[in-house]
Amino acid sequence: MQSRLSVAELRAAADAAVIALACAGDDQAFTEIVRRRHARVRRFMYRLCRRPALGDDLAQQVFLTAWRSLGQLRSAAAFDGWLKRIMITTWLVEVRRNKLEFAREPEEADFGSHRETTAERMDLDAALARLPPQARLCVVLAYDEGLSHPEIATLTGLPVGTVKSHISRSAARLRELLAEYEGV
Amino acid sequence: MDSGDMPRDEDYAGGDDLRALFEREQVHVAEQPFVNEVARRVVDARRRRMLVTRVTQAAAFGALFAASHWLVLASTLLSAKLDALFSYAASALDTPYGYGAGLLCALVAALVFRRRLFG
Repeated sequence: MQSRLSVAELRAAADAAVIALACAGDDQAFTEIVRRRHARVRRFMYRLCRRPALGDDLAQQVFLTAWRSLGQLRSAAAFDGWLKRIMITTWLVEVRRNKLEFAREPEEADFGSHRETTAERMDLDAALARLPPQARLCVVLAYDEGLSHPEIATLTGLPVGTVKSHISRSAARLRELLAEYEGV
Repeated sequence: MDSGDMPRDEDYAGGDDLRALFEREQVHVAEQPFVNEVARRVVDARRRRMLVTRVTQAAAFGALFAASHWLVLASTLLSAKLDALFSYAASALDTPYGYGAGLLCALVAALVFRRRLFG
């Protein structure tokens, strides 16, 4: 569908207006949503899978699923929570499908093109990668996304008690693994 | 749910060090070619969806056209059977028993829908 607004107008438009246009089938508006949200979705996926190429692939899947399901979105205000749910579902499906290894070393060539390779960052990622996928998801949602235990339980479908135990055990494990780094 | 909300203190008592580390260790991601790639895939998906819709519509129209002969025969047969059924029902109702059965049905209906009929 041809966009009702120019690219410049879309860039200046409020989030709610862009989302409403995307819901009405405006592909340019959807591209603008991707432009505004891509960093968050990709960072989330990188943290979880530790492979930039796979992270980008999963982030693309998230946006395509969002585009296909835009009709189910009740209001523009609910967009971010709805997108987060898609992100989590995409990750859980990937874990189930591929049984991702979680102590895998990163691909150096992949990281080189995507980010600075500081020893500390490598170690945060390496430490995260040593956690089981469900616990890793809970930790990333808690400390990276800033969600509370009940919010994480709602989004992941896990009982609040399980979320709490995943987070407390994983936090202790992370501290242990990162002990040699300053500030942790 | 707003992802930007900070977690409640009681949820993460003592987790400030990890929160600070996650915040400090934000990965930098380049906008392109990711955004263009998603836009291209959306255009492809839309094109595929339209193609599937057109093919389905054409197949449905073709099936309707191919089956039209049998559809006409079936509707003629159905119409004849319904004619016979209605004339049998009309002759059965046009008797004292028929009037009685009709009255009984009306009474049952009035009882069932009494609230809607009489408030």
